[in-house]
Amino acid sequence: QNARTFSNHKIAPRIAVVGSGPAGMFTCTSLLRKSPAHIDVFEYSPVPYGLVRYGVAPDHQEVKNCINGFDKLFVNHSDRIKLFCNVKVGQDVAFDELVSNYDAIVLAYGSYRQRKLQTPGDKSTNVVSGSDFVAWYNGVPNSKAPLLDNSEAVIIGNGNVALDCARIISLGVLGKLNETDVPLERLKLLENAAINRIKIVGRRGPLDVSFTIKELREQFRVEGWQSYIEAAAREELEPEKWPAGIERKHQRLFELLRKHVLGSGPTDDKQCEFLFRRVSKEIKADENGRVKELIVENTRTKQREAFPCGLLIYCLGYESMVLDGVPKNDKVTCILRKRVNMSCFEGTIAMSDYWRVSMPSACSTRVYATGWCAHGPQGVIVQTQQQSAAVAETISTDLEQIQLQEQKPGVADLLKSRSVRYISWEKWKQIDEAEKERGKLQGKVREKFTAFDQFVSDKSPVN
Amino acid sequence: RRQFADSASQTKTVKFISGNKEFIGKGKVGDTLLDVVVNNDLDLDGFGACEGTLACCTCHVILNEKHFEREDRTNPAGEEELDLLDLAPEVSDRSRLGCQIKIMEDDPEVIEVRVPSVTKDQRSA
Ligand SMILES: Cc1cc2nc3c(=O)[nH]c(=O)nc-3n(C[C@H](O)[C@H](O)[C@H](O)COP(=O)(O)OP(=O)(O)OC[C@H]3O[C@@H](n4cnc5c(N)ncnc54)[C@H](O)[C@@H]3O)c2cc1C
Ligand code: FES
Repeated sequence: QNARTFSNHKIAPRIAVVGSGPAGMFTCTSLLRKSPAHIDVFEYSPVPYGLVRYGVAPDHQEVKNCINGFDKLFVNHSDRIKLFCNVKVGQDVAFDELVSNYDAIVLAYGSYRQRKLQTPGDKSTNVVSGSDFVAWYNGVPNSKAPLLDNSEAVIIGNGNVALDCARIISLGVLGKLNETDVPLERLKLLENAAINRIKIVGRRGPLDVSFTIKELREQFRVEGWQSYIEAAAREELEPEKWPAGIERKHQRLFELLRKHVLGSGPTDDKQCEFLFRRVSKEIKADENGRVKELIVENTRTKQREAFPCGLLIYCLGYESMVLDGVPKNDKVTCILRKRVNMSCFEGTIAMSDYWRVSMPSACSTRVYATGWCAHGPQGVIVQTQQQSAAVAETISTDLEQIQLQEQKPGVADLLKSRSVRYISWEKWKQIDEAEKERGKLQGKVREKFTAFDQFVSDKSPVN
Repeated sequence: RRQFADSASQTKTVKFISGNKEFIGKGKVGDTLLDVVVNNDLDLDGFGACEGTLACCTCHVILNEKHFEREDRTNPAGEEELDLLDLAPEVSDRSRLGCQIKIMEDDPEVIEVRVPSVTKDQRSA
């Protein structure tokens, strides 16, 4: 392997990677090949791999195959890469402490905070964010179960997370997720759900959706559910209304939407309807404070409409955020203004170019950022993968150019002295095996643990 | 039957061109381009993240005109593949997924494909 050809008299750099999602792990994949570095990966969750485990939908198990490649890194390079789960950078160890104990840092901590709805009544019971709903069905510890006992659900948003939520409900009530990794007790709730009407509501038009075609097609294909585009969108979807010279991907997407505009009346008793040009105005609650209605303005007709619902999920995208201590850019550029919802803008990581974080000139530690925390919470794994390959290339070139004076210690001892009970890769493998074993007994790919106390409760750090 | 065995054991070279770099591997007739990357441990990290299950498009390749035409005749992209290609950065009219493209008997001895990668241009994207 290439790493062996690096000259021996040089001190191997020590790199900290913050976050074990695709951004962090794809960066490690390339770094291990391209540089002789020793890498410590820090992960806030008790278990690794970020949104691959806790975001990607349970009926998309193949997407999760990338985990096999990530796991292999820890086997093939056990002397050069270590995993520290259950360690929150910014809390258990400060960013500054990483700076003084590593030659380079890669920020790959994603962006898990979701944009708020900010509509009057949004505090009503059972108004949940898409990320909370996703976290729940994916088995994130301590996530609150939604109430699924009402026949009507409304989902606000026109991106893939909205589609994921709709599809998981659709499949879940039909008992079609039984072999996936949705935890049993959550699976039962889905299966017993009373929901048979879903409205997916967008504020803009059908040509403005951010769905990807694969996910949209999947919803139309759920058997037992009639999924359709409201008839009122028909005109807007006529090809002569499409912008001139659009790319093939848009053409194919619009074609699919057009094909599913409701023709005659509804047929199946379970229905999922896509509605456009509805701006949320108010959420009305019943006497117990639980959501009972979403009031919208239909910008086509200028009329107000009421959508009854017992569950309201809003999927408005994720926010950028900056870890404490990391240089921050809170000046809002024109590009950013277009990209972010200004009401919750908290700044972005200050970058000096596409890969490098702009650090004070006195700082000799190189800091990089990649994935959703660096380039915005958008796109799928392929974009993250490409960004990470590029950042790793930059890091290895940068590090090759500096002659390191001393071996940096890393923070493992520091964590031990603070009794931070981290979970190592070996421990993760025990959890992983146990989950698969438990799954097998139920005919499922995996039965996730939703509590990890038994793995972290030891007094001494788990190794 | 014998003829089949011979052709299946026939080895060809695949050259993956990414930016200004080339990665060269060998594969047998019937191997996919993903197999070639994996079996030769080529330095195209992250290529084939979903292990060829048509779920990720990290195996996106751009074929040359003749190659694309050959494939399009005998093994055109299905709906699933096209859906994924719609996600691919830098997609072209000759884009395919490497896990769906097999080395064929009538391919030349050296097959060249392009692998798109992130460039500085994406900074402003
Ligand atoms: C609901 C949903 C479904 C998706 N489905 C698909 C799909 O089917 N196919 C697809 O290709 N893509 C999908 N994506 C996109 C894909 O998940 C992202 O492209 C990818 O996960 C981004 O990688 P990342 O590493 O930047 O972020 P993440 O995956 O979020 O990883 C960041 C990691 O950093 C950790 N972290 C955060 N803060 C700290 C801290 N202070 N200290 C230590 N660690 C920290 C987090 O716990 C997390 O594990 C989906 C995304 C979502 C939200
Ligand atoms: S390897 Fe994932 S689609 Fe080809």
